[in-house]
Amino acid sequence: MKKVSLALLLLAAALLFSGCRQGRDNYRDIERLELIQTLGIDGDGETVTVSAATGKRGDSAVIVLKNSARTIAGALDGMQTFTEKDIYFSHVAVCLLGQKAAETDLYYLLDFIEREVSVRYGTYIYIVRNGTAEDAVTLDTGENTCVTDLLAALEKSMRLLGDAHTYTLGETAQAMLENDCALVAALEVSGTGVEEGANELGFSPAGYALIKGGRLAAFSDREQAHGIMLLTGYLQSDTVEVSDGRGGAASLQVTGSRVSFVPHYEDGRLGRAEVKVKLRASIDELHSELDVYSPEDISRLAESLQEVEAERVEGAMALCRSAGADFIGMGKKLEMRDPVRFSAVKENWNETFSSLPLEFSYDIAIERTYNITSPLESGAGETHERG
Amino acid sequence: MSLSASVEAAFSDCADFEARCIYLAGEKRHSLRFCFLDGLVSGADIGRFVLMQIGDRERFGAFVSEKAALEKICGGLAANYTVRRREKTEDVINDIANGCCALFFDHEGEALTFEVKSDVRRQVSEPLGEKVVKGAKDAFVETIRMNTALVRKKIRSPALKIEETYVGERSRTKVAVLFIDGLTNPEYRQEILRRLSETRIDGMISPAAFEEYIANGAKSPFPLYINTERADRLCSHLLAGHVGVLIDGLPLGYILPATLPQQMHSPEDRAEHFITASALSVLRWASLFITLLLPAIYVAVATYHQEMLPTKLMMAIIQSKQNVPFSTASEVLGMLAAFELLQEAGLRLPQPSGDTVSIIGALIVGQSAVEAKVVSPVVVIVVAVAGVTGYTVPSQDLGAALRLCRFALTAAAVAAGFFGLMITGVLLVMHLASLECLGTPYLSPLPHGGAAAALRAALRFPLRADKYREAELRPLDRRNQK
Repeated sequence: MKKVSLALLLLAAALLFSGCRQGRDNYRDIERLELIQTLGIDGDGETVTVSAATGKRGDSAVIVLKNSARTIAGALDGMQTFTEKDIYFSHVAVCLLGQKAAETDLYYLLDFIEREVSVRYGTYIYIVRNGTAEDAVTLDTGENTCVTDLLAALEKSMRLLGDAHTYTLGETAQAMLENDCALVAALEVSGTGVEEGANELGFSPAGYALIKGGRLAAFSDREQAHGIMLLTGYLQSDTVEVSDGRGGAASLQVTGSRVSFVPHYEDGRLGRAEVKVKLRASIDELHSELDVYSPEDISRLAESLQEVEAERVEGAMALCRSAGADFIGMGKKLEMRDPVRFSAVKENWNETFSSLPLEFSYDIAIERTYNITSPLESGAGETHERG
Repeated sequence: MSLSASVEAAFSDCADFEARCIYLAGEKRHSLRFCFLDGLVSGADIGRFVLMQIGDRERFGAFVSEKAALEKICGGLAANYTVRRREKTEDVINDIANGCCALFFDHEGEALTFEVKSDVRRQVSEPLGEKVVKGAKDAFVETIRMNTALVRKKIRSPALKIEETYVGERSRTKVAVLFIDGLTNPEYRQEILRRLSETRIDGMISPAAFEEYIANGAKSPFPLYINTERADRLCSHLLAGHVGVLIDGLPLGYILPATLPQQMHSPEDRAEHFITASALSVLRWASLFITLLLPAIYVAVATYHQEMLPTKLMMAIIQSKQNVPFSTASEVLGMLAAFELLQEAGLRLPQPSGDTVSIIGALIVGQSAVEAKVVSPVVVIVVAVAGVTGYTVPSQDLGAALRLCRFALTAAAVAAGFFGLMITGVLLVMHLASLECLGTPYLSPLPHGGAAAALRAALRFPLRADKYREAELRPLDRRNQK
């Protein structure tokens, strides 16, 4: 009897679970859901326009919905009138922001992300440079693909080519809350359909959008974006074309990189900082008469690479400093090195960052040449001729 | 009333009861009543080892008195291998019912019973439900004495004790309690014998009679005992400190007390290399959770917590459910019920038909249902995986209990998603924790044994390293090797 009473008590307690049956019914059959995978947000400060697209599912067509309201939540709720199915936002993979919306105020997006339980923090965010999110979401991609797939391909290529790191909504929100600034990958709607019937439409990387104070502060160009990737430690791989100084060219594959910030405190105040860039590369392709076994020739290639990387890194740093905020997270790294002494500059770090004297140093080496021709040709007593 | 008259009165109107007079040493003056139950005894043995000796005047010699004749017969005149002197009617009835013939010396108030059982019985064969590749192939049969012999052949020590009693007011079923003297905790033996003696039922014919009256199995679908067809399994449990119970008429041996971890051990665990056996054991534990939880988790995720699914999987599920008219809950519960029906039909039908029904059910009905968009393929996969993993649980009774709980958990998931699943799961754990068999907690040693106990439950250690018997059985001698 005791156990039965306990069981009944537990069942009764289950009814007290808040949210189980409050407001919307939580019971939703899976096939009744319209899975939104790409969400676009445009706004001018007065009205928010939300466009949403489903993913490609078998033979069924991609569904695109659009609605405007005073708030994002209002626009999303209003979309329900367009379909008999339940619109479901928990599987949104990408959130696109129009440039104008980014220039207006991003804190309303932050507010929405914080409160709305259905949107995942892991959703990727992009800012559509020179365009609206609606342009991107409603892009005609043809029958075989969809916007979500194209954006997934873009994310992968940006990561592999070192164009930009795609941040998530959670990372962006965290950066905005902690530093009042954030980096967001930017894209452009590219291609116009080369010929009739061809599906050449898509997206291309457009550097980083620098968000400060909840508003778009600046865009980086592609070279600066590479520099920002390096400074933020997200550069996994990159292919850099350099000149050999004799009219030839080489393609170098960046295989490893690390940037460290070394503070120099003078009388308790941060006097200057060193930015140490370490980079390792290998030869990917050679259109040159260089002798890869000659240290001089290899160091010449390394110097060429250093020139390119220095321009990228220093350009990126200059952009961030001119925008007036530590977008690359240098302050956090300096604080980890010496939290006590950093506390003196933590309060006004963004201002300090903008004016802090910086010294750049580079440690760049080419570790592998992958050359197989010469060792074979120099084999004892044998001559190998390449036909 | 004389002893013979009271026995004959007891068996009155029994068509198979035979009674006649025989002349002691061929003397008509000395007529004795002789009776037996036809079919239970071997007529040839009666003639050769009892009647021929008693009626032979030359062998008998000079007749003095009935008392002297009784002593002579007991002393070896009758060539039968057993002879028992009985004074009580009840004892004579029990002997006759167990395949003896009785010779009454009414003047002395005594009877002699000779065991002359019929040889018509099922011979020892391979087990049907617990087949093994490596290991003994002899399975229990319906005759208790053959079963005790199978055990005795494997444990020849006189420390193996077999106590017998009769249960069932009308069936008078012989029940044997087996244990190892000096090893098995005597409390177990005493408790089982007490329960047997206190059981007042008509008959112990079915397994449920033992399981519910003796093993206290009525209050839970989870078995508080291990039943086995295999004599070697019973023997290894006896050596571990368990008590064995054999019942005449049942080709099964019962092992008590039994805990949940013990029921997850397969007889083949000790036939494989310990690494292989451990891997299979871990797989079985995983199967236990899969068979119990998979349909419920699927329902919870597909109807309440869709955000838990990876997007691609969710899209695949949605795609597969297009045009299916039933809700996920109805689909899963319906398919689970259909699975049970097919299984029941397969069990009840003769072997060839049973297989055919299973194949038709699994392949044709399942595939046709999917093609006709009556159920989605994902649900068929979920129910099939849950069903198949259920068969890896070594105990069929435990498997049946899990199937029952699977329905309850799925229903709870339909009602309240993971909240319902969690609450029902907690209730299930509470129920399991409340069970005990002969004072041994059902979940032991898991609640108090820590990580080591969990490892011991999940893995099979090398035999050389497994030097101690399980502590929860409280054996008198914990070491199992020197």
